[in-house]
This record gives sequence, C-alpha cells and structure tokens, in this order.
Amino acid sequence: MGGDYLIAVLSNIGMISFIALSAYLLLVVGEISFGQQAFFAVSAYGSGIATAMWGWPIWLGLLWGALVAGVAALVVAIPTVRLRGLYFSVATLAFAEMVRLILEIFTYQVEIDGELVGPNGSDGFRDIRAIYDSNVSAFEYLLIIYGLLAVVLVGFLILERSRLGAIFRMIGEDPMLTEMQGLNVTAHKILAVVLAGVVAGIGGALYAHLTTYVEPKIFNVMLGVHGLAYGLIGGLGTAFGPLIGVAIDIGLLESIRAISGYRMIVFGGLVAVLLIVRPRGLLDEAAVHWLRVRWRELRRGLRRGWRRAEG
Amino acid sequence: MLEVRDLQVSYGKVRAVQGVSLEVEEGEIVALIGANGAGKSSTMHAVCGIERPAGGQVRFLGQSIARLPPHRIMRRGIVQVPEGRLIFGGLTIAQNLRLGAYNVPGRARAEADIDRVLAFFPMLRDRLDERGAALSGGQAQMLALARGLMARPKLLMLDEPSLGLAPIAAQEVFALIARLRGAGVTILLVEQNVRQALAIADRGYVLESGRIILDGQAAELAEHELLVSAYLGLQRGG
Repeated sequence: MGGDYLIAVLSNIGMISFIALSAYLLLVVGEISFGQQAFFAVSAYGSGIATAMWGWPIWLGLLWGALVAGVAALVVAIPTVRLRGLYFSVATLAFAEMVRLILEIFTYQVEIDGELVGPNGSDGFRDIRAIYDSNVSAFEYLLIIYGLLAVVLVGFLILERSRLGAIFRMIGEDPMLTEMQGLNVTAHKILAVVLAGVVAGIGGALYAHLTTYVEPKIFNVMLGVHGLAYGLIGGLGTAFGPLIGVAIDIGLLESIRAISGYRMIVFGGLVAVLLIVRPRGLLDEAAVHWLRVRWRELRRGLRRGWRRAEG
Repeated sequence: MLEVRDLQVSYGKVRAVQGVSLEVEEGEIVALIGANGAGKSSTMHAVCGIERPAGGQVRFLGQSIARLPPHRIMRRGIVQVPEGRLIFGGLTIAQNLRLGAYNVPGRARAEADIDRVLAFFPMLRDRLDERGAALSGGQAQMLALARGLMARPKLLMLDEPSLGLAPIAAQEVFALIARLRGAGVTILLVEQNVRQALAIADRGYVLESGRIILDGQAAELAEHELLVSAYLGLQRGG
C-alpha cells in the first residue's frame, strides 16, 4: 500500500517535471508563458487517440503526442513570438484557454468492442488503456517516465553547454544586444517555443496513459502557473532548478499530511518570498556558476592529489 | 567602404536624423560627434539595421544594405559595439567572446581568434572563467570591444565607448582604438568626448539636430571655432 502511494507520488513528480522544464526553457529565453498546459493537453488527447482509437503501440503514441504538441507550438509561435513580455504572456494564456474550450466541445468517438471510445466534450476521454492492456506494471511505467525524463534532462544539459543554449540565454538577457551580435532572434525564439511544446507534450502523453482518463478541466491555467512557479522556485540557472521546484512542491508539500490542507497557501507564500529574496530561484545563474567553479577546483585538486599519491 | 546618402530616421513623428550623408574609407577612423540627441546613435542603428531608415541610402562595399535585417548586415562585416558597455552578465567572459563569432562562418577559427583578440586585452586573459557581471565598467567596455573584434569586422562601429568611464579607463579605451586602426580595422566612432575622439580620428563629422553641420580633417575640426566654443571651451579652461 505504502509502495503504491510512493509510486503514485513519484509518477506525478516525473510527469509534472516535463511541464516545469517546458516553462523553464521559455523563462531562459526571457518569456513567461501561462499556456504550457495547452501542449500538455494537446498531446494527452493526441496520444490517447492514437493508442486507444487507432490501436497504435504505446511508444508510437507517445512520439505522436510529442509531435502534435510541437506542431501546435509552432503554430502558436509564429504569430506570438514577436510579442514581448506581458503581451506574449497574455497571448499564451489566451491560446491555452482556447484549446481547453475547444476540448470541451470536441467529440470524436468510434465503437471498439461494442463500446464508444474517444474524446466526448466536457465528459472527457476514457479508457486510454494501452499500458494496462499490454501489462505494464505501475513500477515499470514509473521507469518509463523517469527514463524519458532522464533523456530530456540530458538533452537540456547538453543544450546548456552548447552554442544554442548560450544564444537562448543571450536572448533572455538582452534580445536587442543579441540581434547586434548578428543572430536571428525571432528564429531562435520560435525554436525555443517548439522545443518547449515538445517537452510539455511528452509529459501530457505520459499523463494520459497513466490516469487512463483525461478531461478538459484538468488542463486549466493553474497547471501552467505551477509549471512556471517550479522554475522560479528551483532556479533558472540550470535545468535541475525546475526539478527541485517540483520536488519541493509535490514531494514535500503535497506529501506531508500535516500541511496537506494548506498546501496552496504554503506554496503561494514560498513563491512570493523567493521572488523577493531570490528572483531567479534557488539555483540561479550566479549559484550555478559558483558551483561549477568549485567543482572544477575540486577535480583539479583531486587529480593533483592522485598524481602525488602515484608518484 | 561605407557610403551613407541623405539618411533619414524617424520615431513616430520625431525625425531624429534628417538627411545625413557621410563616408568612411577603408583603414580610416571617422568620428561622428555631437551633443546628446543629435542623432548619432540613430544614424549608427540605421546603418547596422536595428532601425529601419525612413529614407536615404546606405551602401557598404558598393552594395545597398538599407533594407537588410541586422544579422545579414553583420555577416557582411559591419559590427556594432553598442553604447553602455553592454555585455552578457550571466555568461562567462570566454562565452561572451565566443558569441561575438557566432554569426561568422567557419566557427572552428573562434578559439584561435580568442588568442589573437586577447593580445589586445591582456587584462581579460586571466579572467576568462568569470561571469561578465563581475567586471568593472572599464573592463566591461574592453570586453564589449573584444567581442566586436571576434566577429572579424571590416567596419567596426563604436557607440560612445568612453561613456561613463573614469578618465583613466576612457584614455585606455581611446589608446586601444588607435592601436586597432594600426592593426587594419576601419572604425566609425560615435563620441561625446570630442577632444579625445578627434585626437585619434582621421576625419570627423559634427551632427546637430539630425543634420551634419561640419565635416573635415580631424585636426582641422579640433581647431574650428564652432567646436572650440560649443564643445571644447570648458575643457580649455576658457
């Protein structure tokens, strides 16, 4: 029983981490999106349709969900990416609400084994049973979630050491100065929005298949706001930041029974305090740089000690 | 090399630049001087594509560049070092240098170029791993200049490089600009520090209310009565 609960909590942390990383990527390029839940939703529905209705295997369903979310993000990015600051935020929020309201009326059902399967407006989309039909246990699915999360995280870590990652941070710091370095800011921002959409999409597809049931109201703005808050709590200096944010919220606040009723109050207070004390989160750029330098010194010191021990 | 004809820049109804014409020949340092709001920065922004000119022509190496986006213009060899010692504080100094070459084809050279550029900026060499935010004003200006050089500019446009610097730091910056010319870089220098700008420049243009009111050899301009009374008077103690 305790084991099941632990697996459920860990699965939740894993899935929400994708939306946190998605919002984080946009925070890195200097934009606040209130709409990443839309890509989570689009992929949840898209992958569910693929596996439950078209009979695709689960891995292809996940891939399809991420792809659909990426395409949706591209469609959003092209008109909105030239907007800055508040205007971008409002545009993403409007888009996400639009998606949610469309899902409220979106009906597409087929009969499978005498039962109607598929999205049915505000009643939601039941019986996304692919992982149960193929006998994947909760623990195995947990491994799948964390395997994919590890892949995405490694992708982020490689990105942050790459030229593209530096360009993303440059745009976040000063888009006009970035343009003066001869870089196409618009094209890079479109790329960031699409990548963020794909990342949120992976989470959405995983979510739909774990719960087997999705309905439009799950994907309301609070999901996106949480995704944003995780990066702001954990820090914008590294992709580990938003994961720390998720761990603090779900791992600590939601799991400690004593404060469970007050979770949102504690969470909101934590965000408010951190925004004042550490506006770019616990692991902000300065902290990450400090850690990197110390780590390098430590390695250098160890190597020297090693050589002395050998010689 | 650079040919600007009857350039106009407007912000809404405000006409910041009203028909500026100027030329920069290869190997020169040309100073563009004038008071605050004379249109110096607007002229420069229009040349590098950050502002779209409302009228006039900009030709570089014989080709029109007036309608190109900034990254295309930069690829042709015009590099601007913007006003305010703008560097990326969140990135390390090494990263700041490297990103100057991001738009230059043949990135493999970048590491070799860092060495070449650092020869001009020995004070940065020991600090490559520090964050840009850790630099003082003068050092940040040096880094901004070094980053500009990383792009291998044919024409380097410097916007107020001495602005807000302590006198000693400003002097270092001017000495460095003079050395860069010695290394074959063509420079268009926008400055409020008229005396020092004209001391290192070959020619100069004086801008007032969006128009060029004077131009000529730097040495002659420095003696011109209009400039002496308007900009240099106080500095001469008279």
